Amino acid sequence: MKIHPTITKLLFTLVLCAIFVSDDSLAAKAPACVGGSSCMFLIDMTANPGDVAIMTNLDYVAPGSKSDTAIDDGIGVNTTNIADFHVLSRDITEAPNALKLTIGETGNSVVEDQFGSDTQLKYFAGGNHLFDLERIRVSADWMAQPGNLNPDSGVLAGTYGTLSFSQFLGNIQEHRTMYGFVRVKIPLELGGCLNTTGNCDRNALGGVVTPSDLYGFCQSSVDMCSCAPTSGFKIKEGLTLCGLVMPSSAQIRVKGSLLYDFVASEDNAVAGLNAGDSIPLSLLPWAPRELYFKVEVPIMVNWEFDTDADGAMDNMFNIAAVSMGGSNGLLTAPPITWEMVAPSNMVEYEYYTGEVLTETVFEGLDNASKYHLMMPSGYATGWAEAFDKLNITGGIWRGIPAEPAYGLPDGFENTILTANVVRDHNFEDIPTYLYSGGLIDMHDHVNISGLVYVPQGMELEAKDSSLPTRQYIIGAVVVRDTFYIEAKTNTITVISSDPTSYSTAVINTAIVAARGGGGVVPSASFVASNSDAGDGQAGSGSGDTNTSHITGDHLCYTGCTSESVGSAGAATAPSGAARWIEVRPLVPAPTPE
Amino acid sequence: MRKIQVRIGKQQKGLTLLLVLVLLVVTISSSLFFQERMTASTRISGATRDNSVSLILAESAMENLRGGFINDYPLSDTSPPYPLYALDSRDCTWNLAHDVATGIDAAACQADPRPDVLRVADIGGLMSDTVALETSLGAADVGYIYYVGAADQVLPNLLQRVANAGAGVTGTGCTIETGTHSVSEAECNLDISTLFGGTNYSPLAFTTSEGLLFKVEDPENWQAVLDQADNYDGTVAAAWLELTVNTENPDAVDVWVQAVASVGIATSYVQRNAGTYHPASNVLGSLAGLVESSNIDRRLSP
Repeated sequence: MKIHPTITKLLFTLVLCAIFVSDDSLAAKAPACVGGSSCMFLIDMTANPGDVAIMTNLDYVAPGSKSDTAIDDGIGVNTTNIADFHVLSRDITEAPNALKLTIGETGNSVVEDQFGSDTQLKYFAGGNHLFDLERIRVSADWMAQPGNLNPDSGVLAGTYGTLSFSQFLGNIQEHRTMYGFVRVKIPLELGGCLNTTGNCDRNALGGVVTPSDLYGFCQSSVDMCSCAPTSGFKIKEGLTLCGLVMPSSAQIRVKGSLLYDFVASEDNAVAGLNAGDSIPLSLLPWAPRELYFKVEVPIMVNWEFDTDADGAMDNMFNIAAVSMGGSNGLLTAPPITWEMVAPSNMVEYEYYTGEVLTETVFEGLDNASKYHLMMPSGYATGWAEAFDKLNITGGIWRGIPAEPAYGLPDGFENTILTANVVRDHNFEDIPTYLYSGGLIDMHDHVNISGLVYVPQGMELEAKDSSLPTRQYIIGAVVVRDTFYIEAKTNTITVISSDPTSYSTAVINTAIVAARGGGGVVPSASFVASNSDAGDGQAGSGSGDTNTSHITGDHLCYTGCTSESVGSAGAATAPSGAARWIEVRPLVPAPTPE
Repeated sequence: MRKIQVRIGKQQKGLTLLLVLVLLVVTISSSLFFQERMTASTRISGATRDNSVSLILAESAMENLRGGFINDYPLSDTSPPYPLYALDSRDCTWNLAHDVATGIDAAACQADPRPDVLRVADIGGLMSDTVALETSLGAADVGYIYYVGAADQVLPNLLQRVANAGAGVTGTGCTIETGTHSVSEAECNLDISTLFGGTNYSPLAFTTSEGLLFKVEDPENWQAVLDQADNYDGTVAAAWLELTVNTENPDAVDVWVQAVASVGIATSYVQRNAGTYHPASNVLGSLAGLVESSNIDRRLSP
């Protein structure tokens, strides 16, 4: 039988179409996981009732794709690739408190598009960093200085304090844990902005600049660029980075605080930078993607509950199972058993309540509390381990030449600091995982306890469905420009809000001033304007009080109500953490002409 | 033509002489009085000038201290173009917040914005504790801040004590604690030299040369200031801060800038309130689980 040429062409076209449709490139453009049946991205707000789960100044799109975000082109929205993410919250109107599931974007779970409004978040007011990174730099530099610390014999130099990029990679390769303030100097090169997004004429603060004045990934291999990230950089198993082959056991392991600090690779007289000096945001590119720092190995900072040491928190499947397949409303019989309580939370529970957590006690708790007890935090124990390994007493901690000195409860001058000291509300919390700029991308397991701080962009992508990848952050995540969260099939991503690990962190004084911290009416109140209810605009200068917050530096386990529980985000500054703001009569803002 | 002869008698001659003498005395007296007036006028003029200059100098010294806080100009930033924002930091901050184009270098401003209030870092760093001022000041490394007694005074009185001593009242009885900078609470008059405690505490000291203000670096004592002033115009000035407790809230602190300047025989004392400061904790508190807080309207194309 002779087939007509037209039919042949048609069949050939159909075959091509079939091949194209089955191609991964098409599949990759669609959301990897939809319907909430085989992936999970959830935010646990049970410890922080009253606050919404997601707050943004720009738009929030769910579902969306990476191309919607500033990560690609510098024009920002925030995105998750699935619409049916879960928010688990504590319903304090119920007695006992109930566990409530909210699926997807609602007014109760997301507050977005606040830019230019009265409720605009001002954590980066005036272009300042939320935290005084210089304090951390000084602290890390001091720790690395020989003679200042006397670590245990097994703790090698180069595993604490300020590290070179090569030292950092060496620690990853050798599976070494880093301790205390860990500052990794990541060299960038002047003129290195590659303009992949066409925005190299803007700096990270939005100012118009000459592209050659901006820093970017190294193009050369001279000076500090001999070991530095380049375009397409990633920390990944099997790759050779700075002559070091990343093994399958490669993990980023830190007990304390980790700061990725972009530094100048060589002297820059025009900008007043010497080689190794930190690069301000004004000299970094507008689009975070120009500094795309991808990590495809487990990131473990103050990690907890990882008995098999694979980098993933062990309770993730249990957590996901609680709401998987659920629907909006109260979860009256969540599958939470005594065996699912994270071991470290028994210690935490006893510290905050004064009561030993037994199975009987557990069974008497409300569902919201039971749920939160599945979420372990290694923040206090992580720092305690760092203090122990580095032999840091209260006197040494106070003696770190950071201005001002770190807040600490009294009475530990000659005692190595413990986890309970860290839990004390007079201990100044330290942000846990910080960048000084750029786009961070996390593809592998994440197990972080504490505050994640990203002054530009963040991608939290649970990529590998075969592991499956489990990404766990207990604390909070603060980004400046944009975030993209991707949940792929068979992966779990959990962000558990936990103010105990960051509520007493001290924010940059310049932020207080830049957002008008002095606008308190003297005759009305002289309250400490550090935290107000709901909108997250700490110290917005409008006479905010702390009284309506529910939890701050205390966990909310039983009988949590809006009137009686918690200490309102540490209304009293920890010792050594106070700043002073001017109290001025509140005056109307000037009107533009 | 008939001539008339007038004869003056001996008595008349005596009267004439007397009249001449009176006129002479009047003339001399007038001259002396005029000369005295001229001298006094000159003296008054000089004193007035000294007084004005000393007042200006005191103001200048005071503003030098106060302005050092307010205008935290980045002197190390020597690379052009020089940013405009330092001229009015308040506009900078406000305009950035409202996206109003004013010609201010937004990038530079955001990169290194000027606080539009007293530079709180200095005071905050000083009082790096939330306990009583006296304890906080114990760790102070800023020598030019003082307070009276146990940090419980609600009105400034340090300058008055200095003025009393300078006005001739013997400056005795005042002591200053080395560690805390606390001036003794007991009623006393404070000789300015007492304010100079070497490396422990010391006002900012100034002198002038051809009308320009110069800072005296780290004077060990007041005599050292006077000695250095002798090399220039002979003028001296000192400025410092006094802290008092706010009457409405015991946790708030009133900051007073005080200065004294001496030019010739004139001495001026000036004081200005620099604001009320509150130890508002800037701890983070509580926030949403996932926060994006862009300070730039990235919804628009760059």
